[in-house]
Order: sequence, then C-alpha cells, then structure tokens
Amino acid sequence: MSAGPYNYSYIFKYIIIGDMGVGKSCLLHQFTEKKFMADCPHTIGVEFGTRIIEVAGQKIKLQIWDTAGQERFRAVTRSYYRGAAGALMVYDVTRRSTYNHLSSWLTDARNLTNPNTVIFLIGNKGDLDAQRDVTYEEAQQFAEENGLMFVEASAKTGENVEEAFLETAKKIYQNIQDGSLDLNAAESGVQHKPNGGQAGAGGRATLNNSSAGQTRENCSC
Amino acid sequence: MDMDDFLGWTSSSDDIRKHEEAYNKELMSGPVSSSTQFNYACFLIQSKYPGDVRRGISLLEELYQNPDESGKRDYVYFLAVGNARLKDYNQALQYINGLLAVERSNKQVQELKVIIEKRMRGEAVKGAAVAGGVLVGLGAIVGLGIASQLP
Repeated sequence: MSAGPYNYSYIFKYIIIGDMGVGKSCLLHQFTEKKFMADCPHTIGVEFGTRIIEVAGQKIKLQIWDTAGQERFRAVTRSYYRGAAGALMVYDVTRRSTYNHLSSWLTDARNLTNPNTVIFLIGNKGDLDAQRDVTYEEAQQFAEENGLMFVEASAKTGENVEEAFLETAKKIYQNIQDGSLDLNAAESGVQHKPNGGQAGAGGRATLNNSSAGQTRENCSC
Repeated sequence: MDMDDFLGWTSSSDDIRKHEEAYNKELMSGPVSSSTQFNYACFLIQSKYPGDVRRGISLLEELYQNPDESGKRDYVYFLAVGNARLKDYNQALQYINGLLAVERSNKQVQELKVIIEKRMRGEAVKGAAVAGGVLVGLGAIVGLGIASQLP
C-alpha cells in the first residue's frame, strides 16, 4: 500500500455553526482550498469538506460538516452535531446580532455534543475593521467566561483561519493524550487508525458507533 | 465515520422516527406544514433504507409542486441527493443541471455534481467487472461443451 494523502492515523469530526451570512462556508473553503469565495450563496442543509493536517507528527484527517445558518435547516443541521470532536462557532464582527446569538448556539452545541467537544469561537470578517460592531475585548471575555478558545479571523485574507482549525485539532489531540477524551466512548468524534490509515482499504478500526460510522460499503447509497 | 463525501452520511432511525411522528401528528389534524414535511423528507432521503429514500423523494416532489412554495432550490438540491443515493444518477444530474442553470457558480451544487459523476464512473467500472465475470463464466461453459464433444 502506498503512502500519501490517504495515510493518516486519526479522523476528527468538526462542525461549523453560527448565524446565516457570518462566513462559515467561506472559512471552510479558505481552509480546504486556500482561496476566498466571493458571493457565496446560502448553504443548503450541510456541506462537507476534508483536509489532512499534522499534529505532533501524527497525520489527522479533519472531516468537516459546514452547517446552513438559516433557521429552516435547523432540524437537519442539528443532527450533524452528534459525535463532533470540535465545533467552530462563528460570528461576524461587523454584525452585532450574530454575536448576540452566540449563547443560543453555545447551548445547542453543549446539549448536542459530548462534554469533551472542543469549542472554538471565531470572530470572522476581521479585515473589515472600519465596520466593526463587536470589540475584540468583549468577545474574548465571553470566550473566557464560557471556556472557549477564541480568535478573530478573516476568510477573505486568510488571517488566522489555519490557526483556528489547527488549534482545535491540537486541543483534541491533547485531550486524547492526557486521557480526558476516551476514544472508546460512543460519539467521541475521533476515530483512530492504528496502522496509519491503511485500514481504509480493508479492515477498518471502528471505535465509534455514531450514525456517521456507516461506511460506504455497508450503506445502501 | 470515515467517508469521502456527503452522500455517505446516513440519518439515525431515531431521528427519522421523531420527524415521522411530528408529520403524522399534523396529518391527523389537517394539512401538514411545509417545514414539518421538509424536515421529515430530509431525514428520509438520508436513510440507509431505499424505501425511506423513495418516500422522502415523493414528499419533496409534493412540496416542489406546491405553487406557493418558496425555497424550491432547496427541494431540488435534496431531490438530487435522494436520487443519487438510490443510484439513479441520471435523474440526480437532471436536478443538478437545473440548479446550475440558475446558479452557475454555486460551489456546493458543483461539488455534488462532481461526487455524482464520480460515483457514476465507479458503478460503470463495477458493472463492467460483473459483465466480464459473466463472459468468463460463459466461456468456461462453452469450453466445456466443446471439450465434451471431443472424442
């Protein structure tokens, strides 16, 4: 079996949540394609993206579910929260209402994920400083009070986008290393492939029995 | 949980049941709201059972035919997903191309098209392998027949 992009030892499941139009899909696109997507239409239901990263010498495949912000999709998008190891919660620094709704997004995230899920707060559109409606300091305080990691980023310039996704992965990896995240627990959002992802072609190690655990071989699709 | 694309995700039977109950409850007391029908349909088309997927498709078609409905774009997208999951790729592509005719640069729709075309090619390869296997089998039988006719 050849080495290469399919050779990874962990899979981490992420979700991206937050109000409509805060730039969730643009952040994902910037992270996976390193490009800014202007005039991005509203997401229908959910979008899916992957990228392989490296943390402490380990290759990790990030499996990212980017959810629609529109209320009409809420029932659908909520079903993707289950078994997320990381949640990126996004607001728009130029629109105060998107910041004010964070506590309801946080409640949802806490109720529907497990206690070890790493929640990372992202203030997007950081490049539009002249139109700023939420200060860095108050968001940082909100993050501290709620035990969240926090950064201001820009999907347009790419500033801090990489950092947000990578810091989340580092924290999850650290939780695995210190034993606070139990890989055998249902819906940990992490799958370990002890032989470096080569199981992908044969016997795969499934340590997770969430509904997302369905592989293509045994589902009807 | 390892998968390459969105079509590989399946909804849980608990979720389907929950939305089925909500749908049936509204059905008993009058017309079903479009949001309840839409939610139920979305979970059905992600089910691992083809019968559920087909039911989801017919509920979406019903919503699409309602002239008062906004959000037709969403229904068409999920109709494409449902048909792709039933491996009716030609029908799925018709829906996708319809969406792209209106929103040419929609990345999400373009990506779904790529996934469907990739799966279509995968099925074609599998089909060819099966057909090849049948030919080998036939060859063996014909060969046996010839062998048995030899003195």
